[in-house]
Amino acid sequence: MSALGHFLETAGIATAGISLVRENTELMRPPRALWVPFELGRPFGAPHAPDFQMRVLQSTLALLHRTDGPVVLQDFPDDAPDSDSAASLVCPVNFPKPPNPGESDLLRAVLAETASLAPWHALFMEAHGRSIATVSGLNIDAAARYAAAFLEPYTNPDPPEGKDQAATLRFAIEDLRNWRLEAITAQPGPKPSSTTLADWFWGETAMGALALALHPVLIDSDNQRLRQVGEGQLIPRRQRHRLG
Amino acid sequence: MVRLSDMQADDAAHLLSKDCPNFPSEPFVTGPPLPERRIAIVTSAGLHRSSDAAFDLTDIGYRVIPGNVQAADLAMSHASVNFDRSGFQDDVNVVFPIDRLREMKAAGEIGSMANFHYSVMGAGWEPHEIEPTALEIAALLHRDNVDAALLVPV
Repeated sequence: MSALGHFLETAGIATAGISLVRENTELMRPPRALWVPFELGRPFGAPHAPDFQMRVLQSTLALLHRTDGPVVLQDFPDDAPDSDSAASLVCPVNFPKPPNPGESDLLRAVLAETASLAPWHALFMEAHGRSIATVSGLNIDAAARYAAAFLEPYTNPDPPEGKDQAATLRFAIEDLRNWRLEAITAQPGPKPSSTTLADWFWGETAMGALALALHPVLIDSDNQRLRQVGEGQLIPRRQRHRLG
Repeated sequence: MVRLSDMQADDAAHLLSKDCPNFPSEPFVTGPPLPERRIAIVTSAGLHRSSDAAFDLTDIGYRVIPGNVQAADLAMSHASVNFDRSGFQDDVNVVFPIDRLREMKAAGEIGSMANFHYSVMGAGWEPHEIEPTALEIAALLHRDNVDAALLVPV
C-alpha cells in the first residue's frame, strides 16, 4: 500500500492512508499514514460500528490538512471495539466426523455439514442481503465436490469451462470457509471473535478437515500452481499446527 | 487489540520480512481544504464487483469499483489466507468505508466522491512492480478530477 501511495503522489495525487503494520510503514515512509492497532483484515476496526469507523476515516483524511511532510505517521489512539471477544460458538449440530477419513467419507461429511448449516446461512442472507462466498462461481455443494476430487487418487479435476484449475480450487475452499462463517455467525449469542471463528472452522468442521487433508496432496503435486496454493494459499499460518 | 507484538511469532516474522524499500524521492502533494477535495478510495484488499474477474495469485492489475456500488455487489479474492474475512462478511465498511465516505460528503466534510474507486490485490508482487498500475490509476483519478486518495490496506 505504501508503494502504491508513493507512486500516486509522484503522479500528483495526494494520499492519506491507513497503516496496519507500523514497523513496515516506518521503513517505507509514505507521505501520510494513520497507524491503527486493529487486526489484519479490519482496517476500520469493527463491523457495524459506524461511529468508530467514522472516527478512523476522519482521522485518516484529516492528515490531508497536514503540511509538515514529507512523512507524517500518526497513531490512532483507540483499540477496536469488542476486538477481544472470546465468545464461544454453540452449534446445535453434531457434525459427523468420519473415524477413518477417506476421501468419500470426508466429502459426505462436508455435504452433511452444509445441509445442517443451510438454515443458518439462509438467515444470514436474510439479515445481510449478500454473501461473499461466491468467488469460485460454483454453488456450495459443487465447490465441495470439486475440492474433494483432488483427494481422489489419479484424478485431475476439471474446473468450469474457461476457469483456471488452481484458482478455482483456491476460491472454492475460500467460498466453503466463508459460507460456513456466514452461517455460524447467524446463530444467536454474542458475536464471536475472528480467532474463535477461525479455530472453529479449522478445528471443528468437516470442511476444515478436508482443507487440511488437501495440504499434503497439493504440496506434492506436479502442477506448480497447485503446489503454490498448497504452500501458501490454503492453511493460515496460525492454523498450521493442525497439520500432522 | 492487535499489534505486531501481540501476534504469533511466525505471523509477525512474516510481516517483518516483507520488502520495504526506501524510495529515492519523497513526494508530498498538498491541496485545498478537505471540504473542497474530491476523494477516491484505493484499496489493496483484492475487492472487485462480483461480475468482474477475481484476482489471480500474483495479479498486479486493478479493478474498478463504481462510486454507486452496492455492498451486495462487492467480492474479495485476495491471495492471502492470513487475515480475517469475517468483519468484511458482516459489514463492507470495515474494509471499504463507502457508506462512511458518503456520510462525510452529505455532511459537507469532503467536497465530493470520485465516480470510480480502485482496487488492487496487495500480495504476490514486489513494491516496485506496482508502479505501472499506480500510474495508470493516477491518470484515471486525474480524469475524474480526484485530488486525494484514501489508501486502505487489509
